[in-house]
Amino acid sequence: LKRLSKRKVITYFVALVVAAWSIAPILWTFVMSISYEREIFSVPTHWIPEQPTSYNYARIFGLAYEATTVVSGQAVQIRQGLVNSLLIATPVAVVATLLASLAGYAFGRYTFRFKNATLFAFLSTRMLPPITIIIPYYFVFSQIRLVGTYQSLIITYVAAIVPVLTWILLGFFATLPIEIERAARVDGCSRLRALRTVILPMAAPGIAAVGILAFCLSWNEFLFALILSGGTSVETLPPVISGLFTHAAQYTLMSAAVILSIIPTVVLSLIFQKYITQLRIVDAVSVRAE
Amino acid sequence: VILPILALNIALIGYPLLYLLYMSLNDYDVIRGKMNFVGLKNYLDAIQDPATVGAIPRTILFSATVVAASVLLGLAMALLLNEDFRGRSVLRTIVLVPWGVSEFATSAIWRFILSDSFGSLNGLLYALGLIKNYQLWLSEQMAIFWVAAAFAWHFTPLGAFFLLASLQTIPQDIHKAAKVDGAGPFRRFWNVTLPHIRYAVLIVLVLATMEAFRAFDVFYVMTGGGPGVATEVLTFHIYRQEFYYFNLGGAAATSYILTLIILVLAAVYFVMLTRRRRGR
Repeated sequence: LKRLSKRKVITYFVALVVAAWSIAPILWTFVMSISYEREIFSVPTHWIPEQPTSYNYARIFGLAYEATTVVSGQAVQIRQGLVNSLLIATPVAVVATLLASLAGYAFGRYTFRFKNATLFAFLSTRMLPPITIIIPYYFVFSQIRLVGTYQSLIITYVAAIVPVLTWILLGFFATLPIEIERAARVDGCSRLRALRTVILPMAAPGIAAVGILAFCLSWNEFLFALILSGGTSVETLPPVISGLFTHAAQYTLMSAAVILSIIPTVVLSLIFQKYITQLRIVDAVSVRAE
Repeated sequence: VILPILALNIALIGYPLLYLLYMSLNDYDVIRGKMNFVGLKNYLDAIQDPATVGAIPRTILFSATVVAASVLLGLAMALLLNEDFRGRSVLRTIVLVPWGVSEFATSAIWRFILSDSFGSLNGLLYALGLIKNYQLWLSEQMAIFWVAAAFAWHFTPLGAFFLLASLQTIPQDIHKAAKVDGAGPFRRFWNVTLPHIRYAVLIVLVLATMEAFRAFDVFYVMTGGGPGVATEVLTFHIYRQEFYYFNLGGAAATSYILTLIILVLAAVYFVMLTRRRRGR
C-alpha cells in the first residue's frame, strides 16, 4: 500500500511539472498583456500585475484614447492584421474543405488508374521545406501581379492545405458503410445526389474537423504570409507581430496581439481533439453496423 | 476535382522548382537585373563557402536537440497520461495546448520569456535567488538550445499523443505477467513497453526530424539567425542569402543541398521503418 501511494505522489508531481511546462509560457504572456508597459520591467518581477488593465486589448480594437498617433500606429497595424488573417483563413477553410471532401470521397470510394501515383504526388508536395521555393514562388506571383492581394495567399493556402485534408478524409470516407450509398443509388439517386443527401450527413463530423484544421493552418502560416503580404495592406497577423520586434517595441501591446492570435487556434484545436474522439466513435459504430 | 487541384499543386510547386534549378545554374546580376549562365559554379561555391558549410552542423545540432527533447519529453508525457489518476482528462487537454499555439506565436512567447530585460525566466531565477543579475539567454553559445527548447515545446504534444495512442494498445496482461515474473518497473518499461511502442517512437523520430530541418519561423522571430551567425541554420542561411545578399544562385544551390539532405534522411528512415515492420 505504501508503494502505491508513493507512485501516486510521483504521478501528481510529474503531472504538475508537465502542466506548468505546457501552460506557464502562455499564462505569462497573458499576464504581460494585462499589464502596463512600465510594470513588466520591474525587478523583482510582478507575477500578478498591481494594476491589471484591458488597455492593450482596447487599443487593438480601437476603443482606447491614444495620446499620440505615433504609438497608436502599432495598434492599428495589429487590428488590420487580425482582419486580414480572418478574411484569408475563412475562405480558405470553406474552399479547401469543399475540394478536399470531393477529392477524399473520390480517393476513398473509387479505384482508378494512377490512384497511388496521384496520392503520392499529392503528399510529396508537403515534403519540401517552404523556404527553398519561396523566391521562385514570389517571382511567379509577381509576374501575374498578385503580390499583396488576398487572392495570392488564398490560392497558396488552398493548394497547400487540400492535400493534407484529402489525406485525412480519404481514410474517413473509407470507413463509412458503402451499403447505404448503394441502396440510395438503387432507389434512383444520381451519384451527386447520393453524395449530397446520404454521404455528406454521415461525414459531417469528419468534414467539420478538417474545416477547423484548414482554418488553423491558414491562420498560423508565417513564411508565405511574410513574403507575399509583408509590408502591404493585406499583411496577416503573424508577419505584423514579428515586424513589431523593433527598438520601439511595445511589449505589452505585442503580447496582447499574440494572445489574440492564439485564442482561435487553441480553442479550435481543443474542439478538434473532441472531434477526433467522435470520429473514433463513428468508426466503431460503422464497423459494428457492417 | 482531383485533377485541377493536382494541376494547381504542380504549377505552384513544380514551376518554382524548375525555376529554382535555373536560378541555381545562373549568377544573378543585381545591377543589370539579368541572369548569367555559370553552370555548377554555385554548387561548388556553396560547398566551399564556410558560411554554408558551417550552417550544416548547426542544423544537425538543432535538429538533434529538438528530436531528443521531444521524444524524451513526449514519452514522459505519454507514460504519465497512460497512468490512471484524477484530473487526467484535464491534464490531457492542458498538454495539447502548446500544439494549438502556432510555431510563430511560440517563438514570440519564448522571446518574451527569455528577454534579458523583462523575461520571466530571469524573473523566476532571480526570485529564487539562483542568479544575481539578469542573464542574456539568447547568447552565442546558448541561443540554439533555447530555440530548440521553444520548438520542442510546440512540437512535443503531437509526439506525446502518438506515443499515448500506441501505449494504450499494450495489453494489460503482459504487464501483469512480467510483474508476476518479478520484473521491476524499469525492467518492465525496457523489456515490455519499449519494444511494443518502438514503431510509434520511430514515427515520432521521423516527424520531429523533418519538422526540425524545415523550421524557420522560430529562427526568424527569436534570433534572426544571431547573435552573429550562432543560430544560422540552413533554412535561415538560405533566407539571408536571398534577402540580405541577393545571392539568388547561391541560395538556390543551398536549397537543393537542403532538399537532398532531407531526401536522404527520409530514405534512411523509410528503410528503418520497413525493416522494423518486417522484423516483427
